[in-house]
Amino acid sequence: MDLHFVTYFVAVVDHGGITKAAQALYISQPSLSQAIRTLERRLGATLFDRTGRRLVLTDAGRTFDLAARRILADVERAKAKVTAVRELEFGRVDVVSYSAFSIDPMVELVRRFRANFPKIVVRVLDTYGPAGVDNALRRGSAEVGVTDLSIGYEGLVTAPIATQELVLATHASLSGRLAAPLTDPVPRALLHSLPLVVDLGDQSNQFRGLLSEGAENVVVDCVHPVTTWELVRRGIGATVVPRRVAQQQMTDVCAFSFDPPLTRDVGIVYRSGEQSPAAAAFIATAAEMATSAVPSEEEE
Amino acid sequence: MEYFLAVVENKGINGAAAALGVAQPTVSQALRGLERELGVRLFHRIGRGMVLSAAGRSLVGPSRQVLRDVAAAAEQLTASDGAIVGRLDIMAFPALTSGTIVDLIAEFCRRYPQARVRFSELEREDNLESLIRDGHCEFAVAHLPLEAGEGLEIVELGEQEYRLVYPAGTELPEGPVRLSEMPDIPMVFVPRGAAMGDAIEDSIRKAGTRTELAVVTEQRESRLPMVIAGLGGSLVERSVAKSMPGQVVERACEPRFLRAYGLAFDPSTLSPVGQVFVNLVHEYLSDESLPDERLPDERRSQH
Repeated sequence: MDLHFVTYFVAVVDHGGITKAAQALYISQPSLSQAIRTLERRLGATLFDRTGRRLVLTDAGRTFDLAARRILADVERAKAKVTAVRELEFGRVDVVSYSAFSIDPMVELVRRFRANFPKIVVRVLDTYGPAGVDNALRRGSAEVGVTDLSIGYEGLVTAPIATQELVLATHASLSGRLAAPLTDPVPRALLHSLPLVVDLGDQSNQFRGLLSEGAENVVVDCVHPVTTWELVRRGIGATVVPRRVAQQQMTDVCAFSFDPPLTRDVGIVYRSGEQSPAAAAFIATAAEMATSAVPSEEEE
Repeated sequence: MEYFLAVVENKGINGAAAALGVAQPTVSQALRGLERELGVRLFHRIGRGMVLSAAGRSLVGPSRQVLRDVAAAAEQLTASDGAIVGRLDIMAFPALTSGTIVDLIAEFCRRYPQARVRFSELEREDNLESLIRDGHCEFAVAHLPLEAGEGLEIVELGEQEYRLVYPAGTELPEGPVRLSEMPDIPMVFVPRGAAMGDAIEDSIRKAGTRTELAVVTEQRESRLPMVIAGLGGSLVERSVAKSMPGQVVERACEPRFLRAYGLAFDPSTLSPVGQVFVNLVHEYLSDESLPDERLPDERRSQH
């Protein structure tokens, strides 16, 4: 049913007649009369008793009046909901990433976003690597990906956030067992000999090519990040993580740069075209973070 | 078989070739050779993707077992006399990857530096028995009682408790927080479906508290960092809650959420290195002098 008819009908009831209603609605009287007759024909019922001077609702008309007002109220509610989403008073943004970025930059990105848009819930989906991010965006299960930009995302839009440095994180009790003390920066070849706790199944892990063949010095092949951090803190092995993760998640652990340095470009990726308001806000937050990103402070 | 597993683990020939450091045709050829030998297709080749066939799926576990055996044999030959070598394969449900099991892995690594550990993810808890029988892993860490565990031996490792954590500086009265009186602070949760999380969320809802959501994340490791960043409160495992002293306000919830968990294995098929681990577990659990989740002293002095 055309919503206009419902609006016209309610206006006729409220204004007590066709003439006044037509004035209020800014339409001609004949077209309003015509519309009401069309409505009656479609409903198969007479809504108004036209015998007197004034229009009076029939029983069917009274029943329809109740339903019509409910319809209009629901329409208003639906519009309000849409407006709230548009104005970011309500809603959710779906972001996809993988464990390499779950702390840096995800925590800071979500913190900034929620500070700007406290009514929007952030949902973070986890996938297995850049290909998983690509897939989730194309399938539509997420609107924005946080990922490694050194990989191509055909047909998608990318924007950088920061260059992330990967460091060797190791506890003093492990470095102490080594023949020679570690000095910053450490050679990449150290990854062939030092006991390591890393996730060998993680395809996104960039330093994989730096490991020795067979990865025999990997003492624990661990997929659970929290466990990896804890084992490193206990000196069981060293690991390779973003500098921020080494600094924030592993107290007492020393972070060493590699020589040459190991870095990756982190950014966001999304579908071209119109974004949902929440996704557009998230993308804007990432852009703002990119301009304010300061290189992570050098550690002594 | 090594190539076959590499294709499975790296979700395709390209990834496998890169991981193994060989050319793609080498992997394709090896795979075709294996399929010819077995007389069955191991993968459905759909478009550019590869999906395991039923036959392929049935080969995954046994292949892992074979590779473990080969690795153990090779290492046994090169190991110094009496040294414990080989690989311990443990799968754990994501909520059970901290606390006692980390103590056990750490102690195992300290004692047997030539042995190796693989600590991977148990996605479901209802098929433990077949995972272990099919050789996907030797040990599994799961909630108790097990849904299906006939024939498996189970050692209880402890009780997992979930604690409420809030950003540092949050003013909360001392003592446990009643679910009906949770502070009006948005929460960082993992999605529904995680064993204990659902029960807790349901209880919160029943208690009539309407906690606002800030973030729902599948990346469990980011919960505590998000709380520390001030994004909101969260419910985390006790050992996680205790891992960053001074950076969060931590409280028990009332009622408490406790659920036993344990280590499951098949005693009849234990590898030598697996047997060594079982001995260590028994020794550890009977030794009262070993506090679980101990914190190195120097870490305390940092704060």
